Amino acid sequence: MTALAIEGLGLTVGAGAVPLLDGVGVRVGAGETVGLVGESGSGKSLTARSALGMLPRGARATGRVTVAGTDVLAAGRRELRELRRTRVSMVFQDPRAAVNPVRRVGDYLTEGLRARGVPARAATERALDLLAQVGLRDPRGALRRYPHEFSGGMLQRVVIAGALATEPALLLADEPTTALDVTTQAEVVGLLKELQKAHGTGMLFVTHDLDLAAAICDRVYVMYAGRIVEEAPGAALFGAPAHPYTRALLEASPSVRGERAAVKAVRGRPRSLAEAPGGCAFRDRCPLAGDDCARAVPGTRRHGASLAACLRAGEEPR
Amino acid sequence: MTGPGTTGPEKTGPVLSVRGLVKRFGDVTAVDGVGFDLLPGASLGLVGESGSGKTTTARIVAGLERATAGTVELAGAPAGGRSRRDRLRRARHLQMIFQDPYGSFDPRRTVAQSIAEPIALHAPGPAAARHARVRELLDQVGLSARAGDSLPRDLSGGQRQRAAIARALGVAPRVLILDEAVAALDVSVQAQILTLLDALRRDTGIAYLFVGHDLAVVRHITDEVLVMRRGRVVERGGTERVLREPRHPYTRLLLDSVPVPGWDLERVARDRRALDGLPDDPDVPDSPSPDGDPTC
Repeated sequence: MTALAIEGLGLTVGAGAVPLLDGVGVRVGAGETVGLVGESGSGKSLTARSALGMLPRGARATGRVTVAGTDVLAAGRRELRELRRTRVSMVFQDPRAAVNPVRRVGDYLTEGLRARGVPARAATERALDLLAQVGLRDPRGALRRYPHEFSGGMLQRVVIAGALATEPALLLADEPTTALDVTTQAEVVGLLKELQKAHGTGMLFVTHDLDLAAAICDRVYVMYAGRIVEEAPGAALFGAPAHPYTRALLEASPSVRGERAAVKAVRGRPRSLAEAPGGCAFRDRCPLAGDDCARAVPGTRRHGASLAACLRAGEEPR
Repeated sequence: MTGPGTTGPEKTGPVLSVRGLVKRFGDVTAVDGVGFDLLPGASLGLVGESGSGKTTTARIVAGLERATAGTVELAGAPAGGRSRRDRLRRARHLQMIFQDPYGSFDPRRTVAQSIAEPIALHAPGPAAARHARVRELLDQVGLSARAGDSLPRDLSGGQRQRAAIARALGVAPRVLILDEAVAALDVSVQAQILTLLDALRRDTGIAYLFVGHDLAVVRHITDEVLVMRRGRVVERGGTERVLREPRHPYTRLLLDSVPVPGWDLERVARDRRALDGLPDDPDVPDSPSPDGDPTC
């Protein structure tokens, strides 16, 4: 069973049809952890949100987005609401923006269940169970407390509990640990993986952190300027990056392990699809680029364990 | 060690010397007996998580907070004063760069005007000379003259951080405090700024006090490091030594928390439990070096 299938997704916005995404394909199987990695403007969050039917105002979408059997782009409001209520959940970077600050944590956790018609007492029991699962020491006390009484890490656990309350088929995690301290990040990631395994939930993990994606994901998609440029198993991404952009990202990141190596800066800055040059969007920053890269957007080809959209996948810089 | 009686900047002694720094906010002790020396041209890291006191320490050194106890010496003279003269002297020797340069630029003035301002204040002279200096600074940090004529909002995050560095360098300070200065940048841009900072230190002999949470970045940019937890220094030493053979369980936890293929989350949990068993209440010393001991 596929939790999420995005096929050939294109997005444009406004009267000028400003392009945001182009030909994006992402698949998340049941119980699978899939990473979506990229820098600012790459379109990774837009892609993740499309799974909930959350498109920018005035956006026109082409392609297909299917979540647990529902065609999201064709779905009406009622169907979308049902989808968001029962099949897909989302965890964002800032838990404080996700919960209502003037309502108790207990209300936050039970409202989704109550809306599905679960009786109050049963909903509370379920909330207690969830809070215990995400490792809160005093679940009963936590139900009566307000969001400001929790640290960022603890509140993110509450949000995760809420996201899993309906046992969704798909969990969208958009930079869920970016605002947390490193040691808290490790805990929250451990928790997400554990719960995901227990419930067989598919997870799309959106992050700018290549190390994190490679460490926890079964497969990783790398995005640049609104397109997928590489798809690889998490570990292979590190060992043998096929796309020059992936390689550039790795060489630009300092590492805490192994020999101390110089970081290699990439010239220019990340671009959005609208600003990018024609043909391969990375060619103005790419050390391997030639005239042929300008002709068309390169198709996907296999290189080692990767699928890469590059004419020179796997080549060494001259 | 450089005493307060020494006249003029001591070339061989530390350019920055901090002893027994304490900062209390009400009942909370944010910084609890931190001390270190920074030699000319050296780079010292302050690492820790939120609440460790690393940023408060840096802000006290920069004169943005007043210490409850302890001393800060800059270029051989006490640097804690609040008078205009004291502040000017501090700013001439020490500049600070923050995570978000957007908040530190006047949105209505061009970047070049903002870069010229400290120069006009500290080294007044003909406008033509100042303009030439600004062009030189822009060039040094890799910004075009056109970027200099832009407003801060028209620059990218990386360009703004370059502009902040240019402005800080204008008065030729001896110490640059970098508080999470590359944390908000995209990886490919972060590498550009790190490379720039490397080159500046090599070329000018400026010293860095680098505050950060990202151990990989700290490893890249510093020679020595202080690991802080709950206001105290729990480990200090050469950066490579500390990262390769951490001695304090907290340093180990920080290292094991860095994601890697085959990441052992069980081990992180074990590290954390080991740490929970350790006393961290303030009446039990958990620092391997005595308070304020200058081993750096």
